Amino acid sequence: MSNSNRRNFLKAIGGVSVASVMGLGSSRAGAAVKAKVVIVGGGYGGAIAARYLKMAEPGLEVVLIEKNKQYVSCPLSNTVLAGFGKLEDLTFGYDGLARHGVTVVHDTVESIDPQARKVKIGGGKTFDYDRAIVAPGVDFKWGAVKGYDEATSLTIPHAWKAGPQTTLLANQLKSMKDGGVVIITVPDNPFRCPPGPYERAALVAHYLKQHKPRSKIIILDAKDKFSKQGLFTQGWKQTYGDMIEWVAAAKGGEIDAIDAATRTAISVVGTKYQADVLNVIPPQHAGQIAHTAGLVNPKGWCPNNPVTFESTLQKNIYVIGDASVGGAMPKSGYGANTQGKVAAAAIIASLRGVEPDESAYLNTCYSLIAPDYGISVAGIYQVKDGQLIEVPGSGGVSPMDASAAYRKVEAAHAHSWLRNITAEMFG
Amino acid sequence: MRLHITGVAFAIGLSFSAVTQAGGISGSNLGNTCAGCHGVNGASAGTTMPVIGGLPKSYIETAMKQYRDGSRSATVMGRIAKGYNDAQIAAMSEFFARQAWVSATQNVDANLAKLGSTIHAGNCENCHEKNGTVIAEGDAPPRLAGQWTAYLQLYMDGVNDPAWLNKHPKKGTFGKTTKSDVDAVLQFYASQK
Repeated sequence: MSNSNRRNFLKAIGGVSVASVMGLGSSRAGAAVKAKVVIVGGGYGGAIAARYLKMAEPGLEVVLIEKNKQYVSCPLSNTVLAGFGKLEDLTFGYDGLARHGVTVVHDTVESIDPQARKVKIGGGKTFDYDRAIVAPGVDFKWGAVKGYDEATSLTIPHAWKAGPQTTLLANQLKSMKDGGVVIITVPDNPFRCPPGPYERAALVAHYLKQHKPRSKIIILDAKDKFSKQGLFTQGWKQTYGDMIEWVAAAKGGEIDAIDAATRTAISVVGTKYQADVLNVIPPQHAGQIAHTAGLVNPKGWCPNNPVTFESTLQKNIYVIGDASVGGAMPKSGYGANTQGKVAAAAIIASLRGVEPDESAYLNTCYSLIAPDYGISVAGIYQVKDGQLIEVPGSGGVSPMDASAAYRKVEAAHAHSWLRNITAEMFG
Repeated sequence: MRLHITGVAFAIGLSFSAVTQAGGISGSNLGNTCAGCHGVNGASAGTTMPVIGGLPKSYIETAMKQYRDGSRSATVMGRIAKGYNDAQIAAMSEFFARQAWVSATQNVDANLAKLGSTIHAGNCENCHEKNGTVIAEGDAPPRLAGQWTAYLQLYMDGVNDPAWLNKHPKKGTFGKTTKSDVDAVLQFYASQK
C-alpha cells in the first residue's frame, strides 16, 4: 500500500469502528461494520443499494433520502398509455425498506459537502456520512429543445418520469379524435431507457388500433438507429401495419424546437410536424444534485470507477443508475439495480478495509409491442482495462421472426420481471 | 481486544496486505445480479420466473452450462449464460444452493391438486421423489413442490415441443399426457410446500 493510499485508508476508517473494519481474527462475513451511509434518491438504484447494504451489514446505519413518498415505476408505465396497465400497480411505498431497517427521509437534497461528508436536506437538517450514494436519475435539459420547458410540459407531456405525466399523456390520447396524429420526439443518446420511446409508440398504437384506428404515430428521432430496432420494426409492422412511422435524424427527424400553442415540432431542417398529441422526450443529464455536488463531467453525466461506482470526482461518493456514465451499460432500471449492488458491496469492502470482490453487472430489459408480444435485451458486463464493457459473445436481443408463442412468453416474463425487481426494492 | 491488536499492527507497521484481500470471484455478487428476475436469494416473486434459491448446485450449474451451449432452449437465459465462465457459474450455483428454498405463494385448486396427486404418484414420483420435495446434489431432478405453476407450465410446453431443447429424460414421451393432466399435476406441486 502506498503512503497516500495508507493515508486514505486511515482517513477512511476514521469514521468507523476500527475493530470491525479490520475484521482481524474473523472471516469477512462476520466482521460487523459500524458506519453511516446516506443514499440520495430511492429509485431502481438507490432503493436496492439501501436494501443490500442492510442485508450485508444489519448494523450499518443507512439513511435514504427521497423526495417522493411513493415511487412510480417507469418500466411498464407505457402499458398505462396502451390502456391495459394501471398506474397504481406500478406505485410503491417505502415501508418495506423501513422494515428492513433503512431510515427513510422524504425530503429534497439541497447540497452535498464531499469534504465535510455532509448531506443537507431541504428541511434544513444535515446528515453526516462515511459513504454516500447518489442516485438521482435524470433531469431534463429544459430549453435544449427550444420552446420546451417545465411549464410547457404541463400541456405537452414528456411522460418520461412516470406518474402525473403518464396520466396526462394517456388522457390526451383518450381525448384525441380518430384520425389524429401522435408525435413522439426522441433525443440523441445517452438518455433514460433507450428502447422506451419505441415501446411507447407500439403501446400507443395498441390503444389507437382499438379505439382510433385511422390515427398515425410519427416518431421524430435525433438518431439514425435505435435499441432493438429490427425487432421493433418487425413488431410494429406485424401488429400495427403502417400506423407507426419512424423518421431518422438523417431524414430530418431531429427536432430543434416546438411550438406548444399549435403542438408543432420543428425539425433542425425546418420541417414542421403538427400533432394532435405531442409527446416530447427531452434531452437529459444527471439529476440536479449531481451537478450541485460537483459529480458531473462536461457532458452532464457522472464519471466513476467502474469497479466500485465510486465517483472519480469526489471521494466516498458513489454514483449509480441513470446519472452515471455507466460505460457500456444502458440507462435502465435493471442496470441501476445491479450498479446499486456493486456500490453496496464496494462500500462494505471499503469500510472493512478489504479489496472488493469481482463486481458483477447485468441488464435484462423487456419491451412490450402488444399485451402478448414481448421482446428483450440482455447484457452482461465486465471491467477490462478500466472500462465497463460487454462480455464478448454474450447477451443480445430476442431472435427475429420468433413465433407468437415465444413473444407471448417474453411478454409474461416482462410482468414477472416487474414483480421481482419491485419486490426486491420495496418488498 | 481486536481494537488493541489492530493498534499494534499499525504501530509496528505491518503490511495491510494481511487484511486486504485480493478481490476474487464472488458467488453472492454474481447471484445478486439475478435477483431482479429470480427474486432476492432466488426466491422468485414473479410467476413465470422459477424459484432457484435452494436448488442443488449441480442442477443450477448444469442448467447454466446447457443454456450456454444451447442444449437447453430458453428465451433469455441462453443469452445471459454466455456471459459467464465455468468458475463464475460454479460460484453463482454454489450461492443459490446455499439459500433456503422458499415456496411460491400461489392459489391452488384443491380438487385439481387431488387429481394431480394420483397422476404424480403414477408418473413422476419415481424420479421426483417425496411428492417432488427432494433437493439433492448429483443427477437428482429439481424440486417441483412449491415451484411457480406458470413456470412449470412453460417448462412442460417446452418438453412437448420437439424444437424446444431440454434434457428431460421423458422428453418426447409426454405427448400422450393431456393438458388437463398437466394442469392437475402442476396444481399438486403448487399445493406442496
